[in-house]
Parts: sequence; structure tokens; C-alpha cells
Amino acid sequence: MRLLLQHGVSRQAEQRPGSPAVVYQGAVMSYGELEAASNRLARLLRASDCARGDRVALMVPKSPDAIVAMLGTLKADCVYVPVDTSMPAPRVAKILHRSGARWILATGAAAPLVCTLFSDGTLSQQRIRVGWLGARSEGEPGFAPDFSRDEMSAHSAEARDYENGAEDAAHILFTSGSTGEPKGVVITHSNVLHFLDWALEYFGICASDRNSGHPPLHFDLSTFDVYGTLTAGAQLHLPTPELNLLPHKLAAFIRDSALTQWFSVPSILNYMAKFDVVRDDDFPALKRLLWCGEVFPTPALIYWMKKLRHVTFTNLYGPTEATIASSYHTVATCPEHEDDAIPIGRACGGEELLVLDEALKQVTQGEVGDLYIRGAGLSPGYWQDPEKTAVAFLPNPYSTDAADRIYKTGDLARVNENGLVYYVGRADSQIKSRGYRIELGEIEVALNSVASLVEVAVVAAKTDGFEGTVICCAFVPSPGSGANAVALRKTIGAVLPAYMLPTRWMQMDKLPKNQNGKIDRRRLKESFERGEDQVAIV
Amino acid sequence: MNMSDRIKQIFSEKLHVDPPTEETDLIEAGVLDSFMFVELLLNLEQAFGLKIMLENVDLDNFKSIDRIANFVAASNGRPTAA
Repeated sequence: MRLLLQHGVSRQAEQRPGSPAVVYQGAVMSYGELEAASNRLARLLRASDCARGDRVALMVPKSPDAIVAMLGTLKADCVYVPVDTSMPAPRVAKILHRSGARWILATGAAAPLVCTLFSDGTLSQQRIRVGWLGARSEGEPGFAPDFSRDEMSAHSAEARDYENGAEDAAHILFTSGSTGEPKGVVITHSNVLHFLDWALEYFGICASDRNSGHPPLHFDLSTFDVYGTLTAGAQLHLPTPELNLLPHKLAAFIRDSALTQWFSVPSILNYMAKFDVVRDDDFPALKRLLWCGEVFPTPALIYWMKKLRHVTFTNLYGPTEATIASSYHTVATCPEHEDDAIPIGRACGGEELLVLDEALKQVTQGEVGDLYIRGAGLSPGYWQDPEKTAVAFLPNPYSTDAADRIYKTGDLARVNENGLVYYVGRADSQIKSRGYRIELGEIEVALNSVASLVEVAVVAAKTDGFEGTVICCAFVPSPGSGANAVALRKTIGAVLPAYMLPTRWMQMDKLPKNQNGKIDRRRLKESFERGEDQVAIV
Repeated sequence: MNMSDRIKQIFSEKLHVDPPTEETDLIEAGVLDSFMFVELLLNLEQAFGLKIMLENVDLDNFKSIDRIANFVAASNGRPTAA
């Protein structure tokens, strides 16, 4: 029986208790250790008054402990909410508030963040309790947790009897919302298990695999790394965040860990290509290279495919709302031209991609339409937000079954004569930068609350460099306010995560307008793409 | 102006970032991602006439404003002005 996400991991722990499950900075956690620790944590949570369905915010930087915290929460029949601990405290407080979190599990570098949430009253107002996953011997975290790691040993390492079913929520992932409020996407056990059923078979993942765990745990993609690997009895190798800055060391990590599968957002692959850190026929153990989250520039793909002729390259596509990925395309031969478009391909098992017009009618072959997804991966909706859910998740117009829904991705797509789907662009102002999904509107909301500005607009500009799309801000300061890019960045940096802060700024006397009197964003975008800001600011 | 102040100036004028303190861990705080890091190296090269090879970089030298200041001072063969 494999009804819940943790079941597959527990089965592997029974079969191969001594095998490595998670490898991080040279330390190995075995399946047996992972199983015992997560069972103890689940029991400790329940003994500490945590109830079925409670949301548990995870502020645990990526590490074996983070995997224990994820599994332990599921095993307590609770729902985890992974939190990016590098976000400013006010945004973390918003996520805690929106998710109605009752518990925080924290460790290591998250201590200052939890301290801030204690001192600004967030935790007492929302009655959130804190479990500290560091040992007492590692020093006090600077606040008084409700329990610490040492108390886990008082609880049995046996699995609990679970009350949850496959349709219960496993985790809630928060993404950028255009109105300034992050949206919580609810993902059920069954959502993830359906994807794993297809992916484990398609990719042939087995116990001898050594897979990367590159994306951060608040990214939807990491769900595949963690559960795809651990359900197969394979090894999950976690790179340290510092490696992202050093492409040579990241290449050495893939080489030295003898990884068989690498899965990441394209920007990191692009970064490695720009610095030419991959040798000819490098990474001899590598079998598969997968990417997801944004478009992988074809020149960088050609670089990788020419270097690694023994590797299979697969593009995965899919928004968080449809769980990990909804379509795939394995690139059979190296593209001939640098401007060849790589399709997002065909639907994964159990999923369906629909390209529809405004009347929800299928468009003709080759015509651009709105991309909808239907299938087993569809989230039940946004956490406690029926309005936003109703806008994005529609009843399937081709079905009489009320439970049959389609999700409007906001992406534009077309289908070619072979039935392959191509991503064409966005229908709104959502962008992808370094794999992060960002609503430009959310950045504008933050900037519009700054008193020293008369006008402001945020646009995304394409660059030639490895960074791909960059966020740009054009602003008009109030007379005499002295507003400048540094001050603005600092102000909105207090409420927005670093990846949402514009990297290029242009101060203007007034913003360009189109015929309707609206801000001409296209013109601004072109100005940034021509590099006019570089002149304007100095 | 001491070296730390000069590094701070590069952060604010070129990278449009104002790190909270000279000791803040820039990597842990999410200030330095791969874009920002490469921009920083380019700016340090320009401002101080250095040649920094990415493959030889020791990240410990770039974790805070103070550490960058020490690194630049050492690379120039001069003691830190701070």
C-alpha cells in the first residue's frame, strides 16, 4: 500500500535501513536513521499538542534535518509550509498569517529570523509555537522554544498509525501574488504520488541512482528531488547554497558525487555554460539532466549537449498549481540552430494540456491560445482563498462531472503538427527569474507605498548575459524628496525577498505614456534592453 | 575613506544594495546571488585593478563587507586602511 508520501520512504527504510538516503557536506544519513528520526519527531509534535491538519512552517535550511522535518510533519498527519529563511521577517509573517501556521520547526541559520518574529510580536499574536531542531549542546537559539531536538529521543522510533488519506494536504507552497499577498498552493499526497508514478517509470529511477537536490525546498521542483529519490531507495545529494556562486565547484560537486541525475532551473545550467566549467564527456556517471521552471536558452542547451553526449536531456514544464511538472520533452538530438525553440512537449501520464481560445474552444493547430492543464496533479486550490481558486481553476467545459477541472496557467502556447506543445509567453505580468515566479505587480504594490515617489513602473528586460530576464524599475521622485535607487531598494527590501528586488533602476522626470495615457511599459522595457539606465544613473 | 567604506560605496552605487552592517553575512542574508556576485567581482576588478579568477575564488573572502575589504587590501599588497 502506498497511500501517503511517507509510505514509499518507510518501505525503503525497511528494505535497506543501512543505505545512504541523504548526503550533505560529506555526512550521510541512512534510510534507517531518517525513518527513526522522522517517526520520533512526528510523535513529539503530536505529544506537544499538534493536531491533524495543523500547518507547520519549516524554517530549516536545506540539510538532512530539513528532510526529517518534512517527513516528520507528514507523519504527524500535519501539513508543512516551507519558508525561505532569507526572506525579510514581514513577508515571513504574512505567510505565517495566511497559512494559519500553529507551529514553526527551525534550526541553524533561521535563529535570527525566529528571534525577530518573537520580538515583533508575530508569534504571540498568532499563538505560534516553536520546535527547535538544534541540540541544546549547540547553544541556545536566543529564544525559548517549546521543545528542542533533545526531546525527540524520549519518543518511540516506530511509525504512528496515520489518520490522513491521499486527498489530504501534504504541503502548502507560497508563490508571488499580483496584489502584494503571497498565494498558498495546497498540494495533496495524491497530487505528488501521481507525478511520481509517471516520473519514476519514465526516467527509470532506481536504488542505484544518485540524484541532486538542487532547488530550494520552498520550490515545487524539490518535491520531485526528495520524494522521487527516497521512494526509489536512491541517494539524495544536497549541494550547499554557496556552490551556486561558484560554477567550477558546482561542476566538481556533480563529478565528485558521481551524480546520475541532475535537476535544476535553467539559470544555473546557463551560469555553468557561460563560465565553460563542463569538460568534454564530463560527469561519466550522469545519466539524466532535467530542467524546469523557465525557458532554457537553446545556445546553453547546445553547449551542454555537445559536452555530454552520454546524457539524456529532458525539459519539464508545469506550474506549482499542477504539481512539479505536467509535460515533458526529451531532446533527442542536439539542436542545429541557436534560435531553435525547444517544446514543452507532451502531457505527463495522468495529465492533459489544452490550448484554448477565449471561449474555451480548442484553437486550431499552430495557433496561439491560453494553456490549460487538466489531470491528477491539479491542486485543490489556494489555501483559504475560494475567490482566487475560482478564477484559476475552472470547471472543465467538456465534462459534466463537477469535479473535473482545468487550471488556467496564464501561459500562452501553440501545438505543432506532431502534437508537441510550445510555450510562447505570458498573458500577464508574471515573470520567471532564476526559476523564481514573480508577479511584477507585487513589486509595484510595494513601491507604490513609498511616499517619495510620484510615479513608478516595474518591467522585465531580457539581457544577453547568463542572467536572462532581469527586473528593472523606472521611477519619478517627488520634488525635493531625494529618493534614489539605493534608498528605494532598501525600503522595499524590508518587505520583499531579495530575488524580487529590481537590479536595474532608472530615475526619470516623467514616465513615458501610450495613447491611452497609461505607462508605456513596452517602451520602458526597450529602454532598459538598450542599456539606457546605465547612462542615466551615473 | 577607508577600504570598507569604498567597498560599501561599490555596493550602493554599482549594485544598488545597502548591506545592513560591515559584518553581515552577505550569502546567508541572500544579498549575494550568482548575478550579484559576478557583478561584484567585475566592479572590484575595475575599481582596484585586480584580476580575480572565478575558479580560484575562496568564498570566505566575500562573506561580508569587512572580509572583502581585507581581501582587496591583501591583493593590493597594502595593509587595510581600516
